[in-house]
Amino acid sequence: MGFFEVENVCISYAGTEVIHNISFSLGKGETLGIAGESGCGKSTLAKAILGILPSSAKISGSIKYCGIELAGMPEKSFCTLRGKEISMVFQDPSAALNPVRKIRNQFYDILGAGISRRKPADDEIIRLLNLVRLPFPETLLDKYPSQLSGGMKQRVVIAMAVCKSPRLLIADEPTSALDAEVRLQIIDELIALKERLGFGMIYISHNLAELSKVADSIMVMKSGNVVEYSKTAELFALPRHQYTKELISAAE
Amino acid sequence: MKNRTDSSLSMAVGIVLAVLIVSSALCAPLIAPNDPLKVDMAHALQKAGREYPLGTDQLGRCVLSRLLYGARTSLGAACIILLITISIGTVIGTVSGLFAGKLPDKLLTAFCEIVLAFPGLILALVISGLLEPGIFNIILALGLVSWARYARVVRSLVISIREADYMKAAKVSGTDGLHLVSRHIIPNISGAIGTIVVTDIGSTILRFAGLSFIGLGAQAPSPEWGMMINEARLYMDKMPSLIIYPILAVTLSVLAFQLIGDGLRDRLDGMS
Repeated sequence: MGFFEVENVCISYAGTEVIHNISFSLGKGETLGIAGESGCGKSTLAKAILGILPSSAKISGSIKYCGIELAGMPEKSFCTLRGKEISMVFQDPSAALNPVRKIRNQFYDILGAGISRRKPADDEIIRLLNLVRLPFPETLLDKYPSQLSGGMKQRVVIAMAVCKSPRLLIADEPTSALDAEVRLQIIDELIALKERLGFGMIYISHNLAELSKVADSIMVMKSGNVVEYSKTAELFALPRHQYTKELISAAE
Repeated sequence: MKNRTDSSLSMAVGIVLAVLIVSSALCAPLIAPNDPLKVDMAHALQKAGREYPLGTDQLGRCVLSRLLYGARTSLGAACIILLITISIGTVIGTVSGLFAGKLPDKLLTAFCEIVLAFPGLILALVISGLLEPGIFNIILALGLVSWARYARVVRSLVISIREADYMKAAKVSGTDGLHLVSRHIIPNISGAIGTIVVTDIGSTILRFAGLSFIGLGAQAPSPEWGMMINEARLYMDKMPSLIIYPILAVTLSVLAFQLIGDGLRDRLDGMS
């Protein structure tokens, strides 16, 4: 039984197939990079794994996490997995944080901290914010997302995603909304966090250079199909598909 | 398009008026010069003077005191009606929005459309006609016929918010369904709902006064603006001020909350 296995997954909306027969697997603590152009189905695949696709989407095939079938899993069962077992870092940190709630309260919701548990919850939030190396975390608790910079917001989003110590983290283009300098910091942050917490990761990006830093293996997608899937070093040394070659030359 | 300064100015006028009306209502027992219920036939239909600043009505009751206490009745009733309306509308709209496109949504939307198909005031007339006339029954009647509009607005807001990234992020981080609604959906729709509520305070006061005017709302001798207008009709030729004051009170209240609501809507539009 593998840690995470996707077999022959097809996803369609209103009869139109957008993901065609995708298969891959991920070992415990490994990182899979998914590369491809915008609209090729990377985020759709990530959302399908977490069961947050719109109800109009139809999934066929198998998505297994530690032997548990996720495709077609009822929402109630999914709730017990999300956050604790599988979590996700979204692309745009400004959109991923509720604009009208303070950072502290957004953590409370995830931690399920009632009024009686506020003090230990605050300590836990500070520990998490320290984990993503946010300076002076106690000063951030009463701030609204609009009062933080892009990099700080993404660190908060990452801290929220790892709040319940998930064993699999999906990072959906976590650096695409950030400037070049912050982008590198966030990648380093994720690598350090992964080493420390030992979770497996699916890292989605259109930038192969970024994936080469984090991923053990890379899957290249185009128009909902996998065009190439191999170990990172192998992919860079011997790219077989023309599209992969184009992505590699664009990354250089 | 309305100029931003004009909008701010009209909102400021609305706020000043609303503060005056609300504080008058709250402080009525302290500032009312006389007992609003005290009948004194010897001083009936007196003109404005030192003892009765706005004169007296046909039963010798102080008009100013009745207007001040009437503000309590009208504003209090409007607040309770809106509370009933928002509560029902928010619950039904949220459930409908969360299940958009599914059976619960279809049933609730159909129910809303049935309620909306009837003219609200006529439905309220039927309900209050079936029950006994009185403030409580009219509040219940108006509350029960006005929620559908809110439910529709809430439904559309919930549908737009539930697809937001922060909702998905909260969901995948392990926030449970109840917390998603109470901590993410409700705070994000409260601004838009608040704007509609403020705008509706005026129209609710107007509808409540209208039903009291035809005898279905507040009952004598309790002071209420609609009833005061009705009673003053008979003395319009002898003492026109008797009908002008309560009409002015209703008009200014409606105007105040309408101006604030418009200002809030302009700001909300600007923010989005």
